[in-house]
Amino acid sequence: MPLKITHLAIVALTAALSGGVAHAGGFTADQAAAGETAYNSNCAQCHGKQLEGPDAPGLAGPDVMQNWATAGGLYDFIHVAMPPSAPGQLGDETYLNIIAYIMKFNGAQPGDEPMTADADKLAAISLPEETQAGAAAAAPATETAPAATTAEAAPAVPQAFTWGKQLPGGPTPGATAAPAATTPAVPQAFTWGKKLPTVAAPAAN
Amino acid sequence: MKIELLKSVMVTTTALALFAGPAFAQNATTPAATAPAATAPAADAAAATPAPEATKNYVPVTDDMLANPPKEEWLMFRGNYNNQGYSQLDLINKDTVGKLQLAWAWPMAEAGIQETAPLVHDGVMFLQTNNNIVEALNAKTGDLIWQYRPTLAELPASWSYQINQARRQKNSIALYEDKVILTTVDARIVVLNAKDGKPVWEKQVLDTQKGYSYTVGPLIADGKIISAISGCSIAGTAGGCYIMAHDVNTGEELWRFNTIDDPENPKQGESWGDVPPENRWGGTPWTTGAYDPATKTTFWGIGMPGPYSELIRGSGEGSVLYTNSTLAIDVETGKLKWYYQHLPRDNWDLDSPFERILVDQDVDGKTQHLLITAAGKNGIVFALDRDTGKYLWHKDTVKQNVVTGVDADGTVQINTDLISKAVGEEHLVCASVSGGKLWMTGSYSPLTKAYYVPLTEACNTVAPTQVEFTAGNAVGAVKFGPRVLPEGITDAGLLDAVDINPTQGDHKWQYRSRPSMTSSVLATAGGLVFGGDAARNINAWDQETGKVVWSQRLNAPIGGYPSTYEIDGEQYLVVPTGYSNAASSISSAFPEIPLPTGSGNSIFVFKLPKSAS
Repeated sequence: MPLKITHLAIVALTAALSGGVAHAGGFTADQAAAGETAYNSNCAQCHGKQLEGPDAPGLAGPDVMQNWATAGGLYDFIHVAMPPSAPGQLGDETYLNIIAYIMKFNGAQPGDEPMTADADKLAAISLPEETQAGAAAAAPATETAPAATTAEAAPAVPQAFTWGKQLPGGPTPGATAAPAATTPAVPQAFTWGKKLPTVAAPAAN
Repeated sequence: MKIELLKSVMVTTTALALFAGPAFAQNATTPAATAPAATAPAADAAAATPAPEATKNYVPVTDDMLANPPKEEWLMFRGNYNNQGYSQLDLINKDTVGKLQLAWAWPMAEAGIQETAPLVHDGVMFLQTNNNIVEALNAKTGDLIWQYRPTLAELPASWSYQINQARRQKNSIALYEDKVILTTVDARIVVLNAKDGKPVWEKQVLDTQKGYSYTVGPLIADGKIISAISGCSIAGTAGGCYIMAHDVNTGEELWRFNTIDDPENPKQGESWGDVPPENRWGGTPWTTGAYDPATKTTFWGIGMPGPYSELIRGSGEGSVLYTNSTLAIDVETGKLKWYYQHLPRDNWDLDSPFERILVDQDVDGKTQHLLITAAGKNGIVFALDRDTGKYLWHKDTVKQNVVTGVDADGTVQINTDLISKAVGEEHLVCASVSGGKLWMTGSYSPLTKAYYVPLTEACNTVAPTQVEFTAGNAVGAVKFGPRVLPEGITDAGLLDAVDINPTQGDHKWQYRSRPSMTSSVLATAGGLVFGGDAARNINAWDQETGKVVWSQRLNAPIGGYPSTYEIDGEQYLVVPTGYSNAASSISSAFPEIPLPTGSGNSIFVFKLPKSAS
């Protein structure tokens, strides 16, 4: 059982999980821009300007995206419970914009179709799929996805006993061994997708 | 003439010392990821200015004081080794409480979530807030005596769970001899000089780069610092979660007990099925334990397993010991005397680490040694025989649908319909991941023989996810829905007074309120229970009737651990305010009471006017 699988494998795994192909979008650039403003005035005080927390849980990183699973999962929570000073009172449009911003911050790319408060449509927007696909497309050229890209530099950590195994409702194990399944959008270095030596330990800062 | 001159010089010097400003200290050594032995700070830091006047004659805390705390003081986490959270002071009582006035207030040194438990000894209040800042204040006047502000190990921003987690649940520090002993967010033990706040020695106990942090304070017993590590649900800490003992003078490690891997008990390993230690997480003991000096036994509550769902955990129907258990540990050897599991096979992050309270009751001429606890987030109160671990009884408090019953032998039966069999399979579970019961600690009053437990009525959906773990982040692997009120209930807050005896527990009274409870409670010999809520009210209830006999609205959700002390014949009540992870969890249940957006972290100290007491 590998301690760590590559970023591309995650894309394949999560794509297999939802049975779909990452479709740039789920939200528009305008929604994300409005969401940034709304986030900074309603959420950043506790969740951080860089979505890092620490006075409330951080909202950046692949594990956060995987835990919420879909835009619907995030919407179900925040449109009832957040922010604590005015829970559920920001209005649907603002909650959707904030989700768009959180997705964009995590690497997802905006598209043409706006996100709407339609439960089925929200449940079909996979957070890990959109953020990983967007980050994978953007990573070689830009530095716009800090949360998603830091995961590549992170040290390997132990995984659940069931990691990589077939679970009911989970992805098929074969998906984890197919890093070539996604074709990068732009030409990549010869070593792209291969395991390269890394420094022994992360900087302790 | 000469003598006169000398006198006046002495007076001047004393005056200067009296009005000298507070001392500011910080740790002199840079925290390293792994430092094997205790290190003394650089000599120049130790050889600094003389102790402030206010602590010049500070009386050391002795073992006898810890075993029998003077009633005027608040010497440890819950006031006493028995964790009862009860004060024998009675000047503030049902007749006088209405006359309480503000004596002084103080803003904490740091914003952010906190759960502080102020300690008071020899006229000095020791106040810790998050990030391990400790301040010594004159407990009578509110003047600052010294401040200790440590340099903490930094973590990458992407380790957001660990950064958030490590700042939470900073409950207590400990006093011993002329020292203040704290456990830090970066997994160190730091020992300060109580007179000036300067570090005496420190020790890196576990590797914070793996995810370890201390979130609860130490217990000083039998010449040892008994502590328990947190962060055991963070990916890098797989396989090890510890209750530990260090020599109180040297910092030498004397023993450690691993709550998720006990080779001396085959049943423990078997209860995880095929899952080896290196894929086990959780078992965090995140409330400071109790201590019974008569048997030299320390009692700790243990948290949930990780990953939260058995589908992801891989442990099948296993009970995953010692998660959600009470452990009785011999302080001399670190050996387990007995364990009792309050919630086997947890699938919903319903940890059970909360206060273990030791109660002696005389029944038919025989003293019964009880351990009582609202052990876990589902709020169920248990009574055990603390000498043997034998189950005596349990009593439901808040609405919960997880435990269906307890067999006569103490085996807890769970609702297997709520166990997800597939990724994404969702169930509505009560209580919620935020409780029910949470860190806010109940009190036992020997006056009424009742246990006063602060609780929240809440449910949430739980659905497993399959995720790749990343450094500094949690291994929970579930998606939680928002906290919502159980069907048919409109009040989020509940203070449950449970009558305690060796054969059964029953509701003495239940006080319900729209806002949720957000502080621990304090019971006193004045016949009162103090505690507060998200609506910023600190209340005093009549222990007998549950009637609110005093209420004061403050600046922020009431938090931390209200406590009380007496100086110069006057009784003081200290009330911390500010956000913890409890204050915001279910504010959607009482939208008519908006929470403040400011941090507000403060303490308010009340006393009676001179004529009233």
